[in-house]
Amino acid sequence: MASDYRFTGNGTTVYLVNSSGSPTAGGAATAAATTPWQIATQYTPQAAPPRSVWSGGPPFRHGQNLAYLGYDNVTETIPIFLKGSNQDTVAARVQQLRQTLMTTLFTSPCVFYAQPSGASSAMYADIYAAHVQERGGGGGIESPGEGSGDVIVDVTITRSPFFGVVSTGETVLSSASFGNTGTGSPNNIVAYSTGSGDLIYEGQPLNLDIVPSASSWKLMLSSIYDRLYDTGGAGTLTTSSTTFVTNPISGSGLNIDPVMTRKGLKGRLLVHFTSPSTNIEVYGRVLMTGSGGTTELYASPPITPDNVTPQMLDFGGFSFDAFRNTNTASGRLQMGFGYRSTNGSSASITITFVEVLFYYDFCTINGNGNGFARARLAAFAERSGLPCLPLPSSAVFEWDNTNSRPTSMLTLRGTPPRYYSGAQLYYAAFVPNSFATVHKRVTTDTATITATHAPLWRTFRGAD
Amino acid sequence: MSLDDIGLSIPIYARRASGVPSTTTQLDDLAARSDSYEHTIRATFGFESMRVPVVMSLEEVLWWLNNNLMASTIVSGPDSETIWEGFLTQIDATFGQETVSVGLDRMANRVRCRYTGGNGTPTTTSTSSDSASQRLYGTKDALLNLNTTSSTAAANIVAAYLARWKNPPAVQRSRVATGDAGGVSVAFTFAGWYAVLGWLLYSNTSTVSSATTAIANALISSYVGVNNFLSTDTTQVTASGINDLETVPDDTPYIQKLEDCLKQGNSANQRLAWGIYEGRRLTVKQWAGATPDTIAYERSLQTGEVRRLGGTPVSPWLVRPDAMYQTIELLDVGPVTTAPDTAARKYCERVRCTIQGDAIGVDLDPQEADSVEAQLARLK
Repeated sequence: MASDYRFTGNGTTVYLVNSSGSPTAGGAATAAATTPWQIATQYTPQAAPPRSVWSGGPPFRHGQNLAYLGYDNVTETIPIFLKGSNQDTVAARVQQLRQTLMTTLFTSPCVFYAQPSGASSAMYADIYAAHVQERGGGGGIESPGEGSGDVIVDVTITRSPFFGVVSTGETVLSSASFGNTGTGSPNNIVAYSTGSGDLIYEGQPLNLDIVPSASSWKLMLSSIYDRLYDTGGAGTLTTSSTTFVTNPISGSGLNIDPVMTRKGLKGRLLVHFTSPSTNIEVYGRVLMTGSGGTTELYASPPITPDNVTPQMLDFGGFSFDAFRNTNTASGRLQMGFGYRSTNGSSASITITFVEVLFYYDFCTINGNGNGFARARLAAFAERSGLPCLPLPSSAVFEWDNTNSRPTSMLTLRGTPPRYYSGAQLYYAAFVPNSFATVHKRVTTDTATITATHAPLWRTFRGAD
Repeated sequence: MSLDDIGLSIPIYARRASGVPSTTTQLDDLAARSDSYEHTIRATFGFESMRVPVVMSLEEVLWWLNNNLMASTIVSGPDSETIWEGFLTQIDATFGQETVSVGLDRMANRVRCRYTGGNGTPTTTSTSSDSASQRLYGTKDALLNLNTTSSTAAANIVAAYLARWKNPPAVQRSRVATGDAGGVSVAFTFAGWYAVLGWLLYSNTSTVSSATTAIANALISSYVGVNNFLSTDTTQVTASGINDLETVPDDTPYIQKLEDCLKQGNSANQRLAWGIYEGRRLTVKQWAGATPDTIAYERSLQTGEVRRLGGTPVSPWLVRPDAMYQTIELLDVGPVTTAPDTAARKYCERVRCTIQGDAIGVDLDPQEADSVEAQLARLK
């Protein structure tokens, strides 16, 4: 089987390899059997160069740490031989190629279809810009400027950093059932199915379709390695002090061993409680405890809970690096509250349970004061005929299933969950409290979620 | 690397009537369109300034220039945390050799004038307002001062001033020359909500003595009665324990009376830190320099990151002022326990976070830092 490379722009496809193995002199470029183009045998897709941001280094220490990593567009030159029957045909085919490549600002980027000989599947990229230049003559070859019917054309394209699949992503959750609490069946985490792609350890974009059992006003979503659920600190905390007092809200030995060797994981403290009085203010604490005392590794900003019950509050993300630098494989944490009365009168709050996420990505989706019966999050393009590549920015919207269209935009904050090898999706939903504009978390609510991800490849796809 | 790759989100929300901020209608998210970001936060201001250059088409730039000053933003980080909040105060656009800047700084839509009458009596004209401008941006006062003149002349000057400055003025600069024609670029400058306290003038004849923080809370409530920009939640205000008179002379900016009260410190003779932060709430508390041994941030010269005590890294965009900061390798120089600023540690008055290309970091300025970025935001 010959290799198959194509450019498709504004509905026109230019085939770069003749299916017979040899280009057809002056043939139509819009069919594989007649195309006069022949891509150079030495062409190999270039891998996207990483753009790294480094931290620390000489003269204070040897080496540097990787702080942030991203990938830039790829600019590469593809030599393509054109067997035109005459100079007019050469000009027409090259013009057609230029027109097909430069559609980004007119309709949508030109699609680069690539399937090397023997490859079981094709892969697709977006071409954002291109420069097409005929080579001059020399070495016994006549120049196109002198009327040659055969010419080598250097096509320099600037394309997306990665190749992807087309039209539809890979399903990693198929109508999965979620609960709205950390215990029971179903609970609020479900593992992704195995996915493909080069970036399974860096994160590949996910599109989500979320159908809650009750019209929701707010969602929390996270790609996690695992989640701790603990009731060891359940009970009522009461104070009249206007300065903060502290108390544990979980058991003393929360096992964080999995994060000790997984630097990409961060921690997140979520506390479920009931009956917060109107005059209480709280902040979350992450504690390293031992016989030698207690070290506070993290303290959240103070929060005044809304007067709704039951409720869950997010006290933010924190790092495990303090533990990782101790060169041990075992770690134990305890969660705590700082709490105070804002007015000197008795204030109280009843802790129900604590969840600690070991997470990669975390985001919230807010309905801006309106409930939504179905929400969709789009992080990659998933439309017929187009490559499934990351969108410039994610969009989240309410979906009208009856009319199959979005009806309103929702507010996204944070990093939408991405697909990672071995990861799970964490879900939490909030509903309005008797028409008030505050949210409560009902642990008996459920949801059905479908997730597709966009596998991405730097050069070749292989068998998935 | 774009801001979106890092996980920053800079949603811009349409202003509501009278400039009131809202998150109902999102106009755009600038994070996906920029690879550069800068914000400042100050211990006696709160969220101070933010600037984002973006790449846009000519049509988009024109739409922003004509329609969206006073739009609000809540910048959030990759973990959904709030990084900065404020409103769009200025847009600077370059079209090749043409430059256009539109800003709220010099706008005034409620004007009056103080002058001396022919008989030597100090007088103030009645207030003239432009309701159309107020419906878009809220109310912004200007007080003119003249010497001896007639009431008619003073009224005419007020009317002329209002006509000139009721709308955000545009400054254009043109260069017509050979050479590179240049490109299209635009930069958005945002100010923190504390800045609006300089928009309105106030007076109070009360001679009652009240706690300075109670006076501050009352000022916020009074302000919100005209411009509903801020929260009246006072839970983040720690009582100062000292009193001052409620009296405010005529035509005093709210911000001046507020700062006159809070600069007096507290009953422990310690200065205060204050500002408008998350949720547009006023925060007032004793400054962190009162307990210099309580370290919020530290760094090692071997790394390029800020950390909490114990080693937990803090993202550059989450570093806040009013905090004690120390450098681990310099701790050989033993600090005086009660001194905020020593060779090894200092009080952070102001922070500036910058993200540009391959460099991401935060500057922590000590006390009495010159607010260059505040000038950039053209705050008054």
